[in-house]
Amino acid sequence: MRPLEENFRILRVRVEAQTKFPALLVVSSAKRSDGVTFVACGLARAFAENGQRTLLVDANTANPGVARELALDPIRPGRTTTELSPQNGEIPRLSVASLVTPGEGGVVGDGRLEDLFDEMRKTYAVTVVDAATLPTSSTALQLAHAADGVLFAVRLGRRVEAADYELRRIATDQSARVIGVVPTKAKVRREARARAALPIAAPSEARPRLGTAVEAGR
Amino acid sequence: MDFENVFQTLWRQKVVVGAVILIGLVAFGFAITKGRKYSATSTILAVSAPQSNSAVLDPQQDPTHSAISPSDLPSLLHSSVLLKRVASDLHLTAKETEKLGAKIKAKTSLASDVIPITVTDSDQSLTVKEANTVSRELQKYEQQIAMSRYDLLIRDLQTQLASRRAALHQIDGQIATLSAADPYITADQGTNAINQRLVTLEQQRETLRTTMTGDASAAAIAAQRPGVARDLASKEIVQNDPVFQNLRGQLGKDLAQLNLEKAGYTEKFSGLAGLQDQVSRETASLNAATAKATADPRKSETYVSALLDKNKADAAFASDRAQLASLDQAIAGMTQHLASSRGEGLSIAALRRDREAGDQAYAQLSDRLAVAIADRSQAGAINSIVLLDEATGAAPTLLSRPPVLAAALGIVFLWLAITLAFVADGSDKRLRTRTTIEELYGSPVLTSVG
Repeated sequence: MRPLEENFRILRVRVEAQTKFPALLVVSSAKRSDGVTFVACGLARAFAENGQRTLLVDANTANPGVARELALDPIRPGRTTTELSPQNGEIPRLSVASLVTPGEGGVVGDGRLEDLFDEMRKTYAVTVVDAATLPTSSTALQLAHAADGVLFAVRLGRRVEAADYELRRIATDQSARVIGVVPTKAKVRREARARAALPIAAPSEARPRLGTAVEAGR
Repeated sequence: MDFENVFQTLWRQKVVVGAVILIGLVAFGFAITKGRKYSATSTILAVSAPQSNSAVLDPQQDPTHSAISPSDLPSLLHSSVLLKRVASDLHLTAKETEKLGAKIKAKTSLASDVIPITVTDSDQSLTVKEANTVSRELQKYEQQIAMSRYDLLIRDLQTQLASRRAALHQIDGQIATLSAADPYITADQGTNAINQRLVTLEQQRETLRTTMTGDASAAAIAAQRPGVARDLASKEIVQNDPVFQNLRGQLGKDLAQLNLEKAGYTEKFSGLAGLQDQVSRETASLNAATAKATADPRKSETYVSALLDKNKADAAFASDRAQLASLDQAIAGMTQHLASSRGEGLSIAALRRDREAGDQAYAQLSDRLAVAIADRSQAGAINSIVLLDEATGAAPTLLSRPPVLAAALGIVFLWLAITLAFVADGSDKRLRTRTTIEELYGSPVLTSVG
C-alpha cells in the first residue's frame, strides 16, 4: 500500500495538471464526515512540501477542524479582512488561516470574499480552502463558484445518499469547476492524525499579513 | 468482469466469504465427527399394472398386478402406517420413528420394475435391519392394499344386495296384500285368468243350456207317460184284483150259460129272463168293481214308474234351471270383477315387473360379489411385490468419506461464498469502487487517500 504522503503527492500532481497558478482550490463534500479537512490539509501540505507558497484556509462553518487536523492551537479568526492573520504552521511555506467565527456559524468578511480571494491569489501560489458541505452552506456555494478548482472528498464505504446527487447538481448550477473526487478512508484518517501530531519544523520565513494585502488591494 | 474485479468484489465481501467458509469448516468437522452415515439397500420387484391402467386401485384390474404404481412407491414408503410397522418391528423410539421417513429412499424407474430401497442411518447394523424390514413391511402393506380394493367393493356390493333384498321383500309384501284382497289378480296374468274363468263359465252355461233343453224334452215326454199308462194301469189293476176276477169269472160263466140257454130255448122260455137279469146285475157289479179298482192308478207299478220318471225329469229340468241361474250370476259377478279390477291388475303387473327386474339385478350383484370375493382371495394369495435381494451389509455413504466430503463441502461452500459475496455486493449501496464514485459525481477520481 502506498504511504499516505505519497497519495497526497499524487493528488497534488493530478491537481497541478489541471490548474493554473496561482490558484484557489476549494475542497468540499456532500456529507460532513467525508474527510474534507483531511484532504484539504493533506493537499496543502503536499503543495508546501513541493516548495509552493501555500495558504490553508479553514472555512468549514459546520465543522472547523484544520487546527485539530494539524495539531495546532486554535486559529484565531479575523473579524474583518484586516484582522484575518494567517498563522504560520510548523511546515515551511504553509500558512493557515480561519474564516470561521466561533459560535456564530458565519465567516469573516461575508460579502467581500471575492476581494479576499484576489488577495490570496496575489500572496500565495496555492490557496486550499476547507469548505463546508455544498448542499448545506452558502459560504461553500460562494467559495465553489469563485474557486479556480473544486475537489470533492467522499468517504469510502458509506452509503449513497440523496446529498450525493444533490452535490453534483449544485456544482453544475454554481458553475463550479470540478477537478475531481478524492475518496478517503476513515481508518487511515485516524492514523494520519496520529502522524500529524508529531512536531514539525519551524517556519523558515515570516508569515505575511494577509489583512494588509487585502487592505492594500482596496 | 475480469478476474481483478472478481477478486476485488470477494475482497470487499471478505466478511461474507469468511463466514461462509467458516460455516463450511464447522459443517465438515461436524460431518466427520458426528455425521457419519451408512447406507444399506434391499431390492424389490413390483409387478406393476400397464401404463394405460392408471387406476391402480380399480377392482377391475388384474389382481396379479401391484396395487401401487412404482411412482407412488416413495410416498408409500414414507407413509405413517409403514413407518409405524417398521418401528414396531425394530422397537424404535418415537424420536427414531419420526426420523425414519427421511432415511428411506426408493429409486424408481419407468423402464424397470426393479426398485432399490436404500436406508441411511448412523448405526451400521440397524441400517441393514431397517432396509430389510422396510421391504418386508412394504410387501405386507401392498398386499393389504391389494385386498382392500376388493374389500371396499365387497362391502359396497353387500350393501347393494341388502338394499335389493329389502326392496324385493317390500314388493312381495305389496303383492301379498293385493293377493289377500283379490286372489284372482294375484295369479299369473290376473286379468287373463278372469277372462279364462269367464270363458269356462260361459262354456258351462252353454253346456247346461243344451242339457237343460234335453231335460226339458225328457220332462215333457215324462209328463205324458202317466196319461198313456193309465189304461194299462187300469187293466193291470183289474187283472190283479181277485174280486174283479171272480166277478168276471162268474159273469163269464153266467154269460156262457145265458148264451147256452138262448141257443136251446126260445125267447119265451121263462128261465131265460132271470138268467139274463142275473147277467145284467153281474155285469153292473163287474163295472162297478172295475170302476172302484181303477179309481186309484197308483196301484199300478207301471203308472207309478211313469209318474216317477216324470218327477225325475221335472227335477232334472229344475236343477238345470237353478244351475243356469247360478252360472249367470257367476258370469255377471266375474264380468263386474274384471271391469273393477283392471287398475289393480295393472298395479300388480308393475309390481311383478319390478320384482322380476329386482331379481335380475340381485342375481347380477350376487355374481359380481362372487367374482370380487374370488379376486380378493387371488390378490391376497399373490405377492405383487417380491423381495429380490435383502441387504446384507451397510457401507459408509459417499459423503461420509472424509476426502469426498471435504471436496463436496468445499465445492458447495465455495460456490455459496462466491454467490453470497456477489449478491451482497450487488445489494450493497455503499460507495466502494472508483466506478461507482465517478458515475455518482460525474467527475474523475484523482486518487484515493488513505
